[in-house]
Amino acid sequence: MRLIKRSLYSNDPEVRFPHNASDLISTSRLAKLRAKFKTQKPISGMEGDIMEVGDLKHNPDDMTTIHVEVHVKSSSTAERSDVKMHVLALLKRHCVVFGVYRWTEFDEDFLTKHVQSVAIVDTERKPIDLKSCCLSIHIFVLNEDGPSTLTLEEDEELSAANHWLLPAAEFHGIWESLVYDSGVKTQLLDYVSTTIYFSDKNVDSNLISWNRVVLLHGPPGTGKTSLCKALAQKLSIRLANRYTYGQFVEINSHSLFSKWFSESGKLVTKMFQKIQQLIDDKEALVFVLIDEVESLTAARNASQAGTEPSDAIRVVNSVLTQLDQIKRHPNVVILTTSNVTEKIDLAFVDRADIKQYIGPPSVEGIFSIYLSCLQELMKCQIIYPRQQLLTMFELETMGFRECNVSELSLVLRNIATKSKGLSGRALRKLPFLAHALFVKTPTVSLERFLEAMDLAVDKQIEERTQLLNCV
Amino acid sequence: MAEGKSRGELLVRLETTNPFTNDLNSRSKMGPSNSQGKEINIHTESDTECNITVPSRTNDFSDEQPVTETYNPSSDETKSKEIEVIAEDKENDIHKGVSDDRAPVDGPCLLLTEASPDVTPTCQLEAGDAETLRRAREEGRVDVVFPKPVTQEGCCRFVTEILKCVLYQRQQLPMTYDQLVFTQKSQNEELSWRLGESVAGGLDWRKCQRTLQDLQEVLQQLEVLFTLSLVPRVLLLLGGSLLLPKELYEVNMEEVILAAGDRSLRVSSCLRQIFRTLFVADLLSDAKPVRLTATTVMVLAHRNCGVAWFRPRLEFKVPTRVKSKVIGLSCDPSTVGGPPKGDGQTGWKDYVWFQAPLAIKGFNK
Repeated sequence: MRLIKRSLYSNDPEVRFPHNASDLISTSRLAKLRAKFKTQKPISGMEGDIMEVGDLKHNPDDMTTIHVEVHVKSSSTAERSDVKMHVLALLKRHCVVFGVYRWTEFDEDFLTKHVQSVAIVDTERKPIDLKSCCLSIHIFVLNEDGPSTLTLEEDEELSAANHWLLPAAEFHGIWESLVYDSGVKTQLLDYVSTTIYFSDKNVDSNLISWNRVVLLHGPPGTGKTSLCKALAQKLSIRLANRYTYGQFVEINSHSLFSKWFSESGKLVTKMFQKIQQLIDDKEALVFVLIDEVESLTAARNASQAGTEPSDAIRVVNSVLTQLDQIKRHPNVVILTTSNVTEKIDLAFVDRADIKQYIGPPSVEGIFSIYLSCLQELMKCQIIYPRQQLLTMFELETMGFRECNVSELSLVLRNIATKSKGLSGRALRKLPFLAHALFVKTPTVSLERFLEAMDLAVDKQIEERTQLLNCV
Repeated sequence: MAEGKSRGELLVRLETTNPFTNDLNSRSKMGPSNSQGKEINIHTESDTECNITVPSRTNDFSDEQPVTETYNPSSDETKSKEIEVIAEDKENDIHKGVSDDRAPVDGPCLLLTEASPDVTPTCQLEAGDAETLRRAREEGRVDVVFPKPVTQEGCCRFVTEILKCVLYQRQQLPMTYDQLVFTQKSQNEELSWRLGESVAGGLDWRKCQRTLQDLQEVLQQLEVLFTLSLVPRVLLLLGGSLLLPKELYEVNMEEVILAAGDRSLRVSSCLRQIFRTLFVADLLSDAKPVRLTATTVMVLAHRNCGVAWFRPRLEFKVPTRVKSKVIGLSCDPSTVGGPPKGDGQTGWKDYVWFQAPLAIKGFNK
């Protein structure tokens, strides 16, 4: 499969361009031109890897690429090629699947022993014939170590950043748990893949500029930070055959402010030096998360009014210059989140390539969130007996008709409609609150639990209005 | 008289070099002493008077004035010359010859052998020591070549002892492991007598116990692993992350030749050889102090050895951007005969890295 792609891409005129050009222009002139314009170093061994990105980009052919994620058990020592062979055999046996699907139980000893799950991910809801698709298999093991800490000053106990090796066990499943409308997730995936694709093609960053900065903003509790983590996790899995490691650095922005006047700017520089060390490893794909970025890049004109100490200006300046430094490297992505976008310095906002608004979920989103919550509770047998719930898509195809099968699902839909306006964080804790406040027994039937959830939603909304009235 | 004194001290110092006396001072002994060594050279080169400063590196002597003897060269010339060389020899022995160009003299060597027969520092050995030090300084590598094969259990002991030593020398433990275990035991007995009272001794016992428990667990599991598989390489990663540790130590046993108990060397004599070389090479003392950090143990073992406790890390690559320090253990093939167990490059291809699931957290007082 990869061979096919390689040949497809090598016919691409862009790849051949430098060779042709060297025939036309004299070599010395070309070298001069290159020296003048080249700000971006090509990655070593790139020629061999260049087509791997093709996995992420859409195939030029009609064949759609189906991503298969194979989660290998952390105790497994099987060779990856063996795993791949067995997974391909499994997929051959089940050649037609309906949309997203996950196998966790296998009829084969090898897979049972070594593989946790095989999942077909990020596809549309339609029957897929795996034979006619281009399969790209991503094999990964989760790192179970917790975060390690980065410290800036030798004697300081407080960590300046947390550092995870990806794919991390802590981030597993976040991607699936996040429900957004209008393809926010795919858009972000496509953005990063394009970034890497452009770097690989050696696009001159002076002519076409991209900064590797993503800014997610929106009200609290909509999963911005989670989305950053999930995105990093996803990409580290997707790009596993290109980058051996994924690294995720979460900066504690408060640690960059020094008690000494004028030292804060230096701390920022130090922080980025540490990150630079990680980036220097060409095998690693580095994600840097700056949560609540407004604290680092508060608008500089605010300080003209005298409300902001001048030290803060230095921090902003420092961050901006460091970002410009870092964007030259092909293997780094900077993810930032913020609640108060209007406070962020314009120069920073300008540097962000993608400024994605993450709003509270729509009714459909809420429904999916509730559905996943209820399914989890049924899995843990807190809601018992297990009952079938329909998805929004299925309800829609039925035209929301009321019948035996759809009854409970329609009740859930009503609850979802009522909960519109609650944040994602509030929604995820609602089943918990429902159980705590309105369910008195350890196990409960689904009907009873839905009633409890209805009450819990009422309570949430009531609490919120009270809080607003107080303010 | 002066000669006797100086020789006496020499003996003391050579003994402290031996790690099996289990002394607290070995760390301080490894400390900065080059300046003192240089002083000797300067003084011995001046002909007008021979001023011998005997460096005292043990704590016992550190508070005292350096022992300085002044001689009139005309009255006792031969005698002072001899002491001069002894002093220099000491430097060669422990600090690997500040002045390599001077040929070793037979006399002082004999003297040394008489003074401490069990240490056996021959002239040949000293030349080797200089080379060991140079390699340790320049390449960060120390090679220990055993004259005969060793046992698999022996290899395990080497690794565990090196681990304990690294932890102590890199200041992750306030005293040596064995001392800690001993102190902890006596502390526990004391505790059972007077429960509830605050524990004296200045150590944070909860932290200490946790670290010791973790370390004991790692040591035990290493023993298990060594019974399951050959272990050609062991990595000790201090601080940072797996990819970018602060310090990296490697025990390389690819060239070790194994044999059954009766044909192999005694473990204790091997250990003595390892630690002698380690201290001569001065590998573990760095000018840069280390913070308290976590130590992770990685071992290379056979893919299908079936070890459960260690976690396989198939994608792990030995970090190359950190300067690693390698302790290479091997057996001399000319005296042993037979190929090394790994059979070169291809022999290890089914060996993968395993990570100890718990890191040993350092602690001090």
